[in-house]
Amino acid sequence: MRGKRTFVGVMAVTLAALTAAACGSSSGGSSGPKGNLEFAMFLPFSGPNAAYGPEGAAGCYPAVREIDAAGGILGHKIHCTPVDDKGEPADAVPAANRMLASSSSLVGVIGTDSNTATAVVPLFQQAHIPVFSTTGQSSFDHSTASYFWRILSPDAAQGSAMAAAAKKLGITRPATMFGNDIAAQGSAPSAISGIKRIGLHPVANQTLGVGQSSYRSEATAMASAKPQGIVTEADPQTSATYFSELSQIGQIPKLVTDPVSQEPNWRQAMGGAIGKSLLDKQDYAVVAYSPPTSLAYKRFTSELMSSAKQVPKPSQWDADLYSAADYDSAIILALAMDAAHSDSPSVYNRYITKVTAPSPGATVVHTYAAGKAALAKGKHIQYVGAVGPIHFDRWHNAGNAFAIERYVNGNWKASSLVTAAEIKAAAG
Amino acid sequence: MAVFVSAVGFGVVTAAILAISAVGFTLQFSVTNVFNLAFGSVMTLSGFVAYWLNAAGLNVWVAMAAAALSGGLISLAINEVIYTPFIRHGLNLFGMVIVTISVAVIFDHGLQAAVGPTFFSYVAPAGRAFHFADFVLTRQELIIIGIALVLTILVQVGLQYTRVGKAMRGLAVNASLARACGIPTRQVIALAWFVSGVLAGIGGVALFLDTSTFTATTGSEFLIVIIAAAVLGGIGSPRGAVLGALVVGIVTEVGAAYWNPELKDVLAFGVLIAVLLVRPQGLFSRLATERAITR
Repeated sequence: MRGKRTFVGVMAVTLAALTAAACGSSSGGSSGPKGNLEFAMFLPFSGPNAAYGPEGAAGCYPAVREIDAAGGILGHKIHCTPVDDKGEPADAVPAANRMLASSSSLVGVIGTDSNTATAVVPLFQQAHIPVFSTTGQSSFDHSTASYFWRILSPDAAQGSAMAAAAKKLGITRPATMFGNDIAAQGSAPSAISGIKRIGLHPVANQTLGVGQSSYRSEATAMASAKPQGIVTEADPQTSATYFSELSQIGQIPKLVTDPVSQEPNWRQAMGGAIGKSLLDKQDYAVVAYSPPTSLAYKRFTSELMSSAKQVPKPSQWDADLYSAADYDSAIILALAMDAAHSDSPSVYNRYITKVTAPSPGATVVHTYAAGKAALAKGKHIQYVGAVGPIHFDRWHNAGNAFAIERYVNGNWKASSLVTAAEIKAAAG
Repeated sequence: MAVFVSAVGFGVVTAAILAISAVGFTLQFSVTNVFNLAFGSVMTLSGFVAYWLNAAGLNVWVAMAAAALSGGLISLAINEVIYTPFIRHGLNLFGMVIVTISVAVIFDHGLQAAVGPTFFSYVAPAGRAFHFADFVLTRQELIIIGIALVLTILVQVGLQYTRVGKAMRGLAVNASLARACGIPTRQVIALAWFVSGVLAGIGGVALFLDTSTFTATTGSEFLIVIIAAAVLGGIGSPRGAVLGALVVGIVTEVGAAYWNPELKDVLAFGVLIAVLLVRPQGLFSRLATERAITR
């Protein structure tokens, strides 16, 4: 009997845990209280990319806090709902279907990164739910999905900017090291071709299988090539293992990195591997430029710091470009609903460009409250967000200016700008 | 030639790290016939025990010893509390594999919920670099190679010459006969789980030192390579696991040096399939693969 009881008990615990694991931290599209509207944070909250979820939450919750403080959208309060896509298409598709089937108050999706966007964006398109994605995949450069929106520059532009930044830093003999995952491979081709196009002399181009226990042979080959700088994007684990071994074999040259290097997880892993001071000294992050003194950026960080209840250790995200982009996404969704006088996605989706595009006579606003007030007075508005001006093209892609940022005394500071002409020269 | 020598040298380091865990995995399997896919989770949990102690100021090698003990206890507890009731109820081999996957998911996700989805590193300088012909090894890597060498020899000698080692081998060949001969199977099985956990603990810390950084799921992510080494050598054979680790380690490093680094795993697993085509039982194993789970 005891054995049977133990068996049943263990079975029950196992099944319960399996169910919990299968659901992750997803609420699976559970809707908020009656009268509330819901923004889904469709991101990995478990698995190897589990940090993306909290990063997105660091954008959504501060935005909702700001929106609710200004009276909500058309009288509705807003909820940010975490939906765990586990960073895998096989998990993301059923999670998206469950969410769409079960949530009647869902009005927008914030998230879907490069790992899942191709699989789930068609589902959101079919359901007529606007999705603000942080994917950089070039397959979305000319997307005809009318409900797809991308605030940050596509990966190809990021790669060209990294090549241009290498030249600007005086690196004439660069090398490249990219992970072979979908996220890193987005910017690799344009970075490699850009380096050649602007007259630099690449000494090594490496594509690494991510998540290996060792890259000693690859690091030895890189050290032998003696690059003046390495243009790189790889996940935290791969970067840490590789550069730790490179530092044991040779020296770490200048690292021309992308916004991933500003993520707390990447810095934590790399700082542990090669030392924080060396990382700070050699890291040159090429990121979309937004003056940290802008009103929208200040408002973002202010709301972020006040959201500690929902966002643990909020200060870790205050320079995170993806968090800022997700914050802007939520504000834009809200302003579009106000402009359309409707919370119906099929109606307000058309208003997203109307509240962000520059136009003669448009009132430039940097906060939700200012935008809402201007709209109430019948004015046209242009929201300029925490990531700067957001000009969507006909494929709903917005581009950014780029800057080379350094981590100095605990803060990111732009050391120089990468101009549009420099990026164009690298892009060809 | 220099590139080849250096790749082989680096391959030995990788092999040493894999071998510690592969021997642990295969030792427990040979005795119990439970294909324990929660082995990677034990590596991670033990690795975190070492991390917490190391963060509290303990030397990483002392912390590794504590991780070994905790790995042994965790492994023992998993068997006693979770696996044994299922085995008593006659769950088949495939069913047990599902149970071990469930345990891995519970442990990995539970740990991730507790420590957060972030990265951790030991405070452990790599130490002085030593030049051997055309490659460089750090003091830390040499210590890991030494630990792997000592542990694998201890396991092999223990199995060959000690009473309990002979009992384990007896169980591995024929559990019913071993029981009939008076071997205390329950205690021997418990010891096999404990030793396997000890090796998982040491292997986990060695792996995390090598990768420089780790998360709550790192052990499970590397389990496939560990299993590949064990299968290549002949599942159930500690000596084979060492040889399998050497093949996997050297092939991946030589592949990375001469071929596309992105495809080094393709080469390693290609070799695995080629070997298994010629010797389905692996390089060393003499065990039948269709045995029932040992009770």
